[in-house]
Amino acid sequence: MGKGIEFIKNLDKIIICAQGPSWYQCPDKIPQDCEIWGCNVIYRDTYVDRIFIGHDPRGHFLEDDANFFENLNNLDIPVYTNGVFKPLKKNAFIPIMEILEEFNVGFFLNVICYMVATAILQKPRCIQFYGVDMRPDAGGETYLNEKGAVEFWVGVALGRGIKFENTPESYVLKIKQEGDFPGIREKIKRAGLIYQIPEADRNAMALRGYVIAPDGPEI
Amino acid sequence: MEKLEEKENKIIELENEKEVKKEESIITNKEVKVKDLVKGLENIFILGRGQSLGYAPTTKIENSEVWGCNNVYRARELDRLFIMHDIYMVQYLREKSLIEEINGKDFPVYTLGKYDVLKNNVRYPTEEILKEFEISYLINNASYMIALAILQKPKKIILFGVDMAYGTQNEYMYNEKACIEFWLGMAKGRDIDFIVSEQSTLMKRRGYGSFYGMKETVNAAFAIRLDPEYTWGSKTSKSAMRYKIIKAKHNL
Repeated sequence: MGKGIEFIKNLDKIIICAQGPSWYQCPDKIPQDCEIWGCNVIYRDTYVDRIFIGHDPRGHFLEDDANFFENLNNLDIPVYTNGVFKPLKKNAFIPIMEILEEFNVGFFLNVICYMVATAILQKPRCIQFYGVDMRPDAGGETYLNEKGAVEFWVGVALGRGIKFENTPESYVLKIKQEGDFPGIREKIKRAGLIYQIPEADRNAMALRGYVIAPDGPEI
Repeated sequence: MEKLEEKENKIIELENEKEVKKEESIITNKEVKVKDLVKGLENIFILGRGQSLGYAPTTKIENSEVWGCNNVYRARELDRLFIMHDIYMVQYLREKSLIEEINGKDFPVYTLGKYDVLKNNVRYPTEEILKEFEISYLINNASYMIALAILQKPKKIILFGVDMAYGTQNEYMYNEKACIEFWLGMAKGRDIDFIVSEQSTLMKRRGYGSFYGMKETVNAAFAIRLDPEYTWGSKTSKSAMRYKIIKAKHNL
């Protein structure tokens, strides 16, 4: 049985696993008194206790997982979103109001910021990152502004006496890559709705000839 | 003729006197007692050279200190100056009279190395900073200043002229903005409030809101309302368990 919606205070460690290339270093076996929080569709590649999705989660049906909600429900893990999605069995809001009340700062440029801020509220001994690489080659916005926002929340954690660990390959709190991805692993191939149409049609132009429709009632 | 000789001698005498004074000044400078850092202030103002420096207060605020970097002393009265580059380089590249000008002031000048040529020179306490924070992530003047300010435990750190706005496609913006934001986070984590000038790019980004996945609306009373931003499907959270992709019957 998966975890409940309620967060657990005073854990030894909260691991935050995102989808950057160092994700694969996240432990398969969960250490004692520790939780792994993942974002978006990282549950396809590694074990997670909780999932956070900052944007509209339905976007993942197209590219990543045609059975997105069903798969999340089968994992029986809490899914935190902005807005509530009734088809999800264990869905709750990201606790933005609680975060604002505690810190009085609105600086969440990506889902990792929400995750770190939420983690700080649980007062773990340590927060550890995997796949939160904030690489310059990930695209302008990731490195330009989001890196600073993630670093801001890491700063808050450190300021509160929470230990912080990270992969050497990540650019968080540094300006160059230090590790070299030893034993790098490929991700599971994406399996979104787009892969159900002919390969020749999987481009922006041809996709205009398709629509995505609910397959059952909307609730 | 005699008068001319007398005049020449007088000039030489004066020049010698000047030299002696200069040497004496350097020697006594080594013994100058610079003012200690003050713990528990109400505010520490950190002034950079960005455009919002113009909005920094011009009068002394009680129980507060004003820290500036490089040649900011020309714009505002400072309590401490920080020059983290080699001062000779700064003098060569920016301010030809830098050393002379700052020696004419009373504030301590923090540098990474020690410069005998400076009257009130203090070596930046790097060891103390590393020991306290256990992180070596100081990549510009402002980050050094904020880190040291945090150690003094003021109630508030207030930034003017730290705008990080020199275009968005260079290292200044990419790395240094993030580094300063990290140190502001560190301050926040230690219960030190901070204020960033409105013109600064710190703690925000252009074009998007600061709440990922949320739509911000500001009402007449300047209260911010946050609503989830649904970008896919029906624009509400009403959704199906499954979706299908089908060939459309339209002819776009």
